[in-house]
Amino acid sequence: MKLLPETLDLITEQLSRFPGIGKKTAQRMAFDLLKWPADDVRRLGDLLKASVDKIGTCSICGLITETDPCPICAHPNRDGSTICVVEDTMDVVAIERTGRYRGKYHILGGILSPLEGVGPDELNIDSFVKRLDEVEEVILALNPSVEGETTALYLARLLRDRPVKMTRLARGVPMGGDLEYIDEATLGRALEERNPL
Amino acid sequence: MLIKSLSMKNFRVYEHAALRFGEQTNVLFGENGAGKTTVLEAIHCLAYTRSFKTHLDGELIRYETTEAKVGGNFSGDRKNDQRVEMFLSEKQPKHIKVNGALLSSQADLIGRIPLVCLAPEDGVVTSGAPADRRRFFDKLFSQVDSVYLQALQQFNRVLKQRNAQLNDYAVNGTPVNSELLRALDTQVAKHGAVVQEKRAEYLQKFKTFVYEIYQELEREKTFKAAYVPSVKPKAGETVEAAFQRELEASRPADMRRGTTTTGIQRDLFLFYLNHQEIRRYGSKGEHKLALVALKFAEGRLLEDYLTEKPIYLLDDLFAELDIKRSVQIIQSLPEGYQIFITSTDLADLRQHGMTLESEKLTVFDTGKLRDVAA
Ligand SMILES: Nc1ncnc2c1ncn2[C@@H]1O[C@H](COP(=O)(O)OP(=O)(O)OP(=O)(O)O)[C@@H](O)[C@H]1O
Ligand SMILES: [Mg+2]
Ligand SMILES: [Zn+2]
Repeated sequence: MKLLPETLDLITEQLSRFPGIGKKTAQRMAFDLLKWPADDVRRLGDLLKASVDKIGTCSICGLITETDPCPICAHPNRDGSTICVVEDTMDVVAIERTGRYRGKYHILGGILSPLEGVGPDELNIDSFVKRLDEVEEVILALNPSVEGETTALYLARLLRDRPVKMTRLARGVPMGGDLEYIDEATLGRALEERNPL
Repeated sequence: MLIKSLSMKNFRVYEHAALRFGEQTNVLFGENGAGKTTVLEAIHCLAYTRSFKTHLDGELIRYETTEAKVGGNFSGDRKNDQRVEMFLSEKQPKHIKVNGALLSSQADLIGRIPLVCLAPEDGVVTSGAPADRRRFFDKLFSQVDSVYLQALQQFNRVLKQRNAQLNDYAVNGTPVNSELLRALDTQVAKHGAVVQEKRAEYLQKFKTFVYEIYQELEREKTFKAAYVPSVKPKAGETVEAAFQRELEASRPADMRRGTTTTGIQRDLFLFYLNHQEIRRYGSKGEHKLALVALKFAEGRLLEDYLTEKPIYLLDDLFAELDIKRSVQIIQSLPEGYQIFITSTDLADLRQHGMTLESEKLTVFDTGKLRDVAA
């Protein structure tokens, strides 16, 4: 005899696909869901459905969006001569929060990592190269990891014969950081990449 | 650096134990299985977050219990006193506290407590494969130079990426994206060159230390350490440029074999006794004496760069050595350092020329340490 309803098992199975969510946690979440008011569960279901029907990626920059082109690509006051290249939409959210950037973006949708089977063909690189004609500056805003560096170097090689200026985020001492406690590698790089006053 | 006191709870054979150490030589004696090595393991854990005998932390937790704790109070020559604690549990990942504050990364402990450990497991340094000697030097150089550690970690990561791509070609025939390979090569060369240059620099210093120390232990023979990098710069060429050149040249072979055949992962460290490679020709005792010299040289290098005296843990120091050499070692033990020596028999130590009646010496009957509440 099967003790638990099949649907519950199926929900558990789907929930356990989230990173960091194991079978046990997923099952607890599924049970919890059953205790929600029926209308709330329906609403969640509708939202999940809407996420597939309404949300897609911008055909120009790859941002997750409900409209195509996305609000940033469609915005008349965003400077199209500067493109900031990032790994995913979350990075755009972070940069937008600074309120310091008026250009456009390009979302690679990942980072080069042969170990995980991610090569150039798996990323939005072709669509990026197609956008370059009216671009003067490309800002590489990739994480300071080995893979971020590989991706930056790969893009730099790809663009080496084009008349675009390439820059990258400065790396150095964090605000509020105490020099004494910053690791030597970071401090060394901050020294190398120091700015004039 | 000194460890003033140590406490253990459910750490291997110890249910509860608390020890106060002497500032100079500490002798732990007791029969086989008394718990001598365990005390050294506990101290080692506080400096390196892990035992020198196992990387499986679970083995350190006392049978039939689920949590272990080790704590030690250290006092520095230069640094302020610090309390280091390690918590092991079957249920959650291990954590380390320094002065009560949780360490966010265990790597933060590296270089904090200079410590040299000689244990039977270290025999591979002189007798094992080239990778064993690279590990010995990598661990040492990483402690004195965080830039070395970072370059090494990044090199290993990018090498893995490069090898993944090469392997995918060699095994599955997936075409290699040559631009991507070049981007990886640039980084392999950049980080690899940092490691190679620093290995050469530190080995130069180490070489002198170990030569002198060996001379003191054994006058009739000479001990030489050499570093033979896989990448060989031509005259006027930088290491990084040589790396790039060799990576390019070996690309076809690398693609065929699915792995990178040039670089610091292939470097050799060689030890010679009177011009003969110890690994091939050394007798058991010659291996051991060489290891002792290497460990004392390790201590000298640590002290030189960290400007802090290391603690010495010497487990089964005299195993494999004859009386003449043991006596010589006792006479050459670094003066003014905190040293831990294990022995199954005090009479044995006397016979090896150790004066046990001295205020410089603290002797522990290890079998009696168990169940001494803190
Ligand atoms: N997790 C554990 N729980 C309980 N006892 C353990 C555990 N791990 C090891 N032991 C036991 O602890 C005892 C002490 O081991 P230790 O290696 O410290 O002995 P020793 O005094 O160095 O002996 P030797 O002279 O043989 O080197 C041994 O009997 C060993 O079997
Ligand atoms: Mg032992
Ligand atoms: Zn867009």
